Amino acid sequence: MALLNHLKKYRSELGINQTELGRLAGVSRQTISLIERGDYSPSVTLALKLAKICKVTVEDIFVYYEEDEEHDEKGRA
Amino acid sequence: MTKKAELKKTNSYKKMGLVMLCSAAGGGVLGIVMFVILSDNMVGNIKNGTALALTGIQRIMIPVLAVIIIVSIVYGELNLRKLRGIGRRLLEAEDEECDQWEYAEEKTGAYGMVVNLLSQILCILILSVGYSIEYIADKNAGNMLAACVIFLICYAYDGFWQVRYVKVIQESHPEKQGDPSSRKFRQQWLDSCDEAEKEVIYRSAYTSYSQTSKMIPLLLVIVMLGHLFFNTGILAIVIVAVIWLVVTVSYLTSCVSLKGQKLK
Repeated sequence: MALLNHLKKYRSELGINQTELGRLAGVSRQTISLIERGDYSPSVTLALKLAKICKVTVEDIFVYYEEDEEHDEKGRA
Repeated sequence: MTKKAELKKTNSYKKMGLVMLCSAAGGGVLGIVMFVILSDNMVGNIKNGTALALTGIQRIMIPVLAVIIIVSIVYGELNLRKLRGIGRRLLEAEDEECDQWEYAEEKTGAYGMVVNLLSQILCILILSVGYSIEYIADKNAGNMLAACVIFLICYAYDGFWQVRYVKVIQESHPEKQGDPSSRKFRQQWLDSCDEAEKEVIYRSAYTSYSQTSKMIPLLLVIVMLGHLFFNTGILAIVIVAVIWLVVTVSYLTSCVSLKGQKLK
């Protein structure tokens, strides 16, 4: 997967759970969970909505990595 | 075109040709073996055996249907009870815990739906064994009527179970809309799903289309062999062929129409 995200971190900073974030973004809790786990890449609209709710830019939440970079990033983590 | 891509294309033709050749050879060998093994006497024996088995099923049609409906009701009620319990826990659970309960809900619901569908199909199969004028005319009208009543009860229960199942899911997922008794239910349900849920539905639908496309040619071969050796009639062949045509044409029509909409 080439898309990593820090949604869980920003959601925790807001102090809300997945259900509440889902309600604010107009999607289900499952969708938020899938995005946080990296199992689903959201549409541009949803990514923009989530960034707006978290009061950050899309690039702060979602980070695109080439495959090799991703391994490096995971290795560092 | 790169050398690698060109090589891949050549291999695909070769592979496809080999598969077709092997299938033709396999079919030929199977045909000869069946022709040699299935003498007129053996075909007659198989037909007699089948007729005997069908008569046996006709005799126990009512108790078998009764067992199917009892199993269907008991399992259906236990399944809905379990789903309600999961739904209550879902409403109280948080984040990761919710994922586990939602998976359990999906799995339990799927088992319920399969048992529900199986009971309907088994009821239809059992009833169709006795569903002939010949059987009814042979002083069996009472039996047939009783079997029909049990079948209708089973069918009604399964129909209402599906409505109750949707309602239970809607209790734990209030955002899910749709009246299960409406003809537009599937569209209403889809409209209430968000983008990730729609992706799951679309991917599952494509898997279903792929599986059906693999299964239908196999079924066609089976019904054709059945007609060749046992004179089962061409109706089954026609039905399978029509299903194949409808599945493929509706998929392609949908693809073309969706691409057309994007051009407008």
